[in-house]
Amino acid sequence: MPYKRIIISIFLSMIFLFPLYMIFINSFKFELDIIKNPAALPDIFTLNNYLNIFSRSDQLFTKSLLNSLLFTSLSILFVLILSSMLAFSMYFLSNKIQNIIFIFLLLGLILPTPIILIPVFTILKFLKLNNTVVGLVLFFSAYYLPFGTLVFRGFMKNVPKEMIEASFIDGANFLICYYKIVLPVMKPAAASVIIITGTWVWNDFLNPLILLGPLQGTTVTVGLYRMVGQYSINFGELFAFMVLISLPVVIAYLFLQKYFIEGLMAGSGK
Amino acid sequence: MKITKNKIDYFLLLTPGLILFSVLIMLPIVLTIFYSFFKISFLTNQFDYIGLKNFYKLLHKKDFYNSLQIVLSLTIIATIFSNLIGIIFAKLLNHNNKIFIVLRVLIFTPFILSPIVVGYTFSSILTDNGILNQFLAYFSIEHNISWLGNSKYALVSISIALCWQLVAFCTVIYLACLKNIPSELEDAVNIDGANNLQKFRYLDWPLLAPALTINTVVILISSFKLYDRVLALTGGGPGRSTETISMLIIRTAFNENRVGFASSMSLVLLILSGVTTFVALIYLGKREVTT
Repeated sequence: MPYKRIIISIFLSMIFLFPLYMIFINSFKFELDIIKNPAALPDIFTLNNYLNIFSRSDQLFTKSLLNSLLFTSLSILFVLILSSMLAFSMYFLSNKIQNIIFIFLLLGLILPTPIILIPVFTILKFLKLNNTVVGLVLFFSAYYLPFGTLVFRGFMKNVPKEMIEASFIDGANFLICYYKIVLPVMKPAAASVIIITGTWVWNDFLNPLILLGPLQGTTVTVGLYRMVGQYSINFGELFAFMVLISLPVVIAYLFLQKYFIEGLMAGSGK
Repeated sequence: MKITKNKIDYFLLLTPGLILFSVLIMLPIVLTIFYSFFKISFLTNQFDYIGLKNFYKLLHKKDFYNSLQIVLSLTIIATIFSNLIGIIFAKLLNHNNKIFIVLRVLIFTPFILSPIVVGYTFSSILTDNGILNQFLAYFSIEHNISWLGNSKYALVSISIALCWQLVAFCTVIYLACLKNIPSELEDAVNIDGANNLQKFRYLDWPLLAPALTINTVVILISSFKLYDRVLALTGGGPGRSTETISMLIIRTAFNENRVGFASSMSLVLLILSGVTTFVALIYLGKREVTT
């Protein structure tokens, strides 16, 4: 047993993860306790902060949560379908065309969104989709399409050519081949795309703030921002809010962490 | 493989993604370039061609140079420290004991949190009577530092919040890469009697090249679009001392309603981030091949 290494590792990890411990532990304390002993375990354990968030008169939390659940799941679904279709159909193109599409996708992958947010806003306004969940979902689907395509493309290499050829000889067309042969093989890739794009979309703040309209629309992150803006901060409720909106992604990560890291490697591998 | 069947079903698969991507990502890039030659207001529907005027104004815009400097310093700090600490953590945790497996899973959690959550977390740690200052007071070190209110320290605070998440990412990518180093190579180096530093210099460092590329590119992208963490931590203040380019663009476009002018800033940021990322990709990618 490398005891020295274990002790150093645990010590450094504890310092590194201290902020997580702090949010969590303080969400169960009364306000005075937080200010007096921010790092200690609660003097009196309370669920008040959580209850207050759920029983807000403006329903900020519940509204935000429902909104986020809606556009996150729709965005995941769109990215999943569109990018797997694109990765599959790119397979049949000549290398030259594949590379051209690839460079365009790469450009989208490294693009910081604030650069295009103004024109995206005007385009969605032109399509009468500004301030709507549909507009936001379409934008997210377009923005994460390159990442999804890259992950699926990596996994397409695992599909044997013979399998696809055989399905064509059996009289399948492209849609059937995609649906019956390729999709099942790409399940691990799909898991990666779901967990990673899901996390990114859920956590995003600036894009929903602008595209859902700075005044009306709310998501879990925008809701957090609104809550801080409204009153002088009640730390306990702030922490409880942060725990609640982080919990879904943390739980998803703990269950699917293998796919999370594999997907990141596959998406950036080339 | 040739496309022999009828092509309609094929285009049904190929085109939806490409069309969506073209309309909502590629077209906006073109429009950003186009808009930067116009004077545009969302309120009055003004849309006048003014040539290069936006760019002349940009040359004299102090806020813009200020933001540029902030983003560049944060990028450099984040690149160096996230990679450095990431490698140290990865080397430390690269062991098959169960404890290390648990730590490896936990160490990644900061990266999956929303940047705005991270911003508020660190703002509660770093406020004037927050944990950090209480901790410093306990050891009777100078504890009246205003980590967020003093422009000297505000940038440090933002770097910490930024690096915290990026270190988590870098560590995991380095770990994944370390796993692929064949044990025969390590044995060979051990037989040659190399010390730890030599082992790192001649074995790990070259073999970690692919991870360094991924990490650096991700750090560059995150730094260039930096917005949420800064908003939560300092709101760009005190004054404008921590306002990033993204914040300046959004403020100019949506608060001041100078859409064309904001677009000219976007264009500069687009060129800057594009060139930097591509240079990093090519330079670091070459290293991967030669070593």
